[in-house]
Amino acid sequence: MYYQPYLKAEALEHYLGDPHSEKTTFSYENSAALDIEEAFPQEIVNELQTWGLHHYYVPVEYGGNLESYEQLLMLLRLVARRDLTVAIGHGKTYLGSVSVWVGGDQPQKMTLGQEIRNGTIVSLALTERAHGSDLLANDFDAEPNPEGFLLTGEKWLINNATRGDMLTVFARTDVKGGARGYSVFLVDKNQLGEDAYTCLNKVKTHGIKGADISGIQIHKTLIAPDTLVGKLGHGLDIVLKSLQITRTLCASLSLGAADNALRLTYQFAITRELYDQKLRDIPHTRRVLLQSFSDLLIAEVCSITSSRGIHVLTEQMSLISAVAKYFIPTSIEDMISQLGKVLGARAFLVDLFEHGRYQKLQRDHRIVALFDGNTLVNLQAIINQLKTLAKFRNKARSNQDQRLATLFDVTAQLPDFQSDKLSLTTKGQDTVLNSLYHVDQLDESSSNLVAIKQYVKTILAEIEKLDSEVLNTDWVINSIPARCFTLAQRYCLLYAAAACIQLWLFNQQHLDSKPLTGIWHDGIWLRICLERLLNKLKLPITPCANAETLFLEQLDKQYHNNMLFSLFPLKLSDYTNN
Amino acid sequence: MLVATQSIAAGGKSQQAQFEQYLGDPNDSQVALSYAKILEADEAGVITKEAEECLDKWHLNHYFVPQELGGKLSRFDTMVEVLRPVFRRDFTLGLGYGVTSFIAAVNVWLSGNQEQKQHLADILLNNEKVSVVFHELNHGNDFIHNELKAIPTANGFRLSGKKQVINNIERARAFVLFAQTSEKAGSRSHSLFLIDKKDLSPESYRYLPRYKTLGVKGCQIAGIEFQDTFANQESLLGKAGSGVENALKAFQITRCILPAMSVGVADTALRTVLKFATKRKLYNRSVADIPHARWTLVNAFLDLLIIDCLSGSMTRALHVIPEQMSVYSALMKYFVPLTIEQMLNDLSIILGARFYLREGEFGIFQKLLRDYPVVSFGHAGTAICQATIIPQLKFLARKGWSKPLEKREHLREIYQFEGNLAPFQPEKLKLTNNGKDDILGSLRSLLANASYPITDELRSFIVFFNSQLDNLIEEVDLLERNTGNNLCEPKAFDLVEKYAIIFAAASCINTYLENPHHSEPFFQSGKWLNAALQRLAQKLSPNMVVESTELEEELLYQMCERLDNGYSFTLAGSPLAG
Repeated sequence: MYYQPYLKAEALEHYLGDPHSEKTTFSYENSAALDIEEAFPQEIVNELQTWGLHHYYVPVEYGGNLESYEQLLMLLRLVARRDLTVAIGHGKTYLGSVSVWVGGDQPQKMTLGQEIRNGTIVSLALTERAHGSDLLANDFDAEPNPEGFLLTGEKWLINNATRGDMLTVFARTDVKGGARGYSVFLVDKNQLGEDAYTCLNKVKTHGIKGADISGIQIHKTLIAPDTLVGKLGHGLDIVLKSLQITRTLCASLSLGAADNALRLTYQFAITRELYDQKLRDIPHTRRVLLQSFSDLLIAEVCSITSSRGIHVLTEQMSLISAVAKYFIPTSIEDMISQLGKVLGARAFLVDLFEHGRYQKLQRDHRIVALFDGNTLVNLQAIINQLKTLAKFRNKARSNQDQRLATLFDVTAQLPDFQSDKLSLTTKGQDTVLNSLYHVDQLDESSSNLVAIKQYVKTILAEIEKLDSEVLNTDWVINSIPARCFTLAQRYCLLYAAAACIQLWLFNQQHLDSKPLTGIWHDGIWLRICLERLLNKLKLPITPCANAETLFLEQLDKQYHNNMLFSLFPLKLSDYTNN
Repeated sequence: MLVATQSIAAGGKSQQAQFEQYLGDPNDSQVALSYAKILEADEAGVITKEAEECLDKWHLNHYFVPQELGGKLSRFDTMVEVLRPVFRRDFTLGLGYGVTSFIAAVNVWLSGNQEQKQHLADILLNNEKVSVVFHELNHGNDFIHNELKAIPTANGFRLSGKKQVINNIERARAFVLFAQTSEKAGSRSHSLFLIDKKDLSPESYRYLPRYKTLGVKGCQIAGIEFQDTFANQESLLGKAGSGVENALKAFQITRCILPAMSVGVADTALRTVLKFATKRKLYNRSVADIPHARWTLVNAFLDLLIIDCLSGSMTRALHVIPEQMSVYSALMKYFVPLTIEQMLNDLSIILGARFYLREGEFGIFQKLLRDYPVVSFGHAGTAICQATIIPQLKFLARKGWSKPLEKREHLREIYQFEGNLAPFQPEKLKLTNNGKDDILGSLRSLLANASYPITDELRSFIVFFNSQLDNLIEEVDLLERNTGNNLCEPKAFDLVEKYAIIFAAASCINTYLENPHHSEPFFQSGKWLNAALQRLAQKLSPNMVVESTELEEELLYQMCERLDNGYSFTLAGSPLAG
């Protein structure tokens, strides 16, 4: 079989060329140099424009190439594997435009589609200096008046605030504030007078040093009525729904960074001799590699599930996006830091080993858990739904969601995305986790499958335990007990386990392609990934050395064949160094 | 080596307080060691002359030199107390100014002859620096394969080869060198040297370019290459061929000292974030009122108390049970940095986007985050520490962990803050523990000892950790049977992790019980102990969940009080200058 989204992704990868080569613009070396200079990667971004990546930010109905979010995620993943600063600096235009795709009217969408295809940079002006994630405390004003709206205020820590041509601005349209007191505007900086605004200095950041993280002050400036996106007072609704999509897409950044970190560490581990053996074969390293490769695959499964979910389970995205945005960046952050221990001193040197790639990706990646709704915001979004989810669990046992195959079978055609189905709550539905009540296809024909079946039982019992603790705990929304955060974290691990099980069940029969049968056959990858998740849950496992060996052989094979570390084959354009 | 008279630890506390006052409030941008100047120096990649002169004037180097050689070093716990104010302010300076010199010097104090010791003492007392010339990039922590050669000649040694990633090499007056002196493979092939650069012919060696590093950017980390450099016979430290053994013994000291000093970093991290949390308003209240933030802050405080218990006791244990330090020093080096790294990550979540900024009021935090990893791999990676422990696990399980410790008198010396302490006897350091583990043995005998006032709650924790120790013994046994005597497989690392947690719990319990006359009401109440044990228990068993908002409240109150009144977050609650 071929995993469809990888066709375009591979094309992009080959267009960009070998990242190790001096002839390549988008090379590790150039990215490292730009990072040291804290300079925006303009030339690289130009290359992406030439290829037409920005067309994937515009839905097909408005003239772009965005048909599948799964596709967009995989494209951004390959950009991110080279340099997160570039992925973030370029992908920002999608973040800037999504509110319009979700809440705008037809003419706005057509105009914006045209602008983006012409290369216009769009930015999202959401956060303010004193309020961070507390959107309802924002005090950037758009005061309605007969000729339009009068903008006044400051937005800070805005990606591309200075370089951007257009901004979607989240502004207060009712001085009393509140859930209906904010609106979204699409503002063209070029149409504002020169004195109308001031771009703030680029902020010195820990990572993504080349990105334009700055801010903007707008001084009592009138904007036209047609800049309003959606209805007056519906800004919060539009932004929260839009973030459900972008939070899901953030997984691409983590997946890219994970591949980069694992590839680099593996390269080091097979070349380095320590204690008369290869570093790779030392038990500690083996353990880290095993955990890292499984972390990466689990994150991939969750990314595939969530991005397909945008199309298939649109009404559940409030939950799905929060799980993805919490779980994927944090588990990859952890993975990256474990890999750093294998690299030792080289993880710390900026200009020695492979252009200091590790320390750069490690710093860069830390922004992912922060922006677009940080870890806490996403855990809260899950916590707020835990009770309803627990209450609806019983119903789910008897009713199987008919959309499971479309969601998990990666060869199934995705339905068109319908933004009007986005909802602020999932109303107790969690197709992914609840699918575990319907895994009768799992047989016990081998020792691996017996182990997997046992793990499914363990997971189901844990769901029950978690639900009952949730139902027995009382809290109010603005004072969530700390224990709930642990429960939400555990929920995510269980959810990831369910996604792994289903993805394996629905796709194992397609896997005739040789390079991958090694770990698809007999549930090898599934077993290892479940053990990793159960280990994180501190639930009992019975690891099998043979399965671990087969799993690590696959890692070795993917590395040596210059394949993306993945459940599906994708050839990278890295040179072969073996 | 250290002076034979017994001294009082209270000296350390008052010297620390004086030093704090001398250094002044780091928030005052005028003082030499202010956060503002520290951040500025970090951006520029320098350690300022002003900062070093400030420490020189205080004669900080004197604390690295034993009393009998004219310095002020008589007990390791005092030394740590005195150095913490530097680490609270600037890890880079702590390492770059002095601790590197101390790491080098310990080798001389342990294996040098009188003349060598006096020579080194004179250098340090004269405020000059000494470098540790051990590291070869191609071999990392694998000493035995180090390639730099010192070939014996008629009247000395001929040095050839390179050493890399060496702090202060260019500006040091002297250095301690680890070199291969015999072609024969094995642990007797290397030796240590103390070399004064004045004795070398300047044309016979050269410096390699400085490295750019992610953290400790101000440290002058470079390399050195010897080309048939002549070193005289007198530069050999100890016997030829004893280099590995002596270096490993010296590590037992530095592996306790460095993590113990670095608790100062944790203090600043917590202080910075607590300050932010009490000031910043989100959702109509201060961040410190959000339950998750409170929980994170309180846990960080508890972690800090736990590692402070370890730091105090292990720096004294060097004096009391030197023969058991091979395992304990490795546990320190493993557990303390890991805990602090995790703490920094957890705290960064509260700081939100502010943690990502290299400027502004909280800009110091990202510097801590970049500097701190040096402790983990600085001079012995985490994995290597674990590897020191793993081969000893089965002996510990059979002896130290199984037999209740009958005599506890010497434990008092290890745990009492203000008691007398036997002089350090370096000749008693051993390369293995021979199965001895008095600390866990003491956990075995605690409940049988009627002289301790043990509350019911504490009793249940003691029972819990003892049963965890039973499990651990079983797991070690199982692993031994499964791996045919060779415990070295990935699973073994999980066992070390458990060991470290039980060890930390025993250290906290003993610290509390052996200081019955401590006057501080917070310490006396023992509530911190129960909370700390709860925290450790949860790491072993996720079901150990008891949430007490009342206790959380008290701990948070204690933290805020210390923040407002300027006391450290350590057990002793030492006065700070700001």
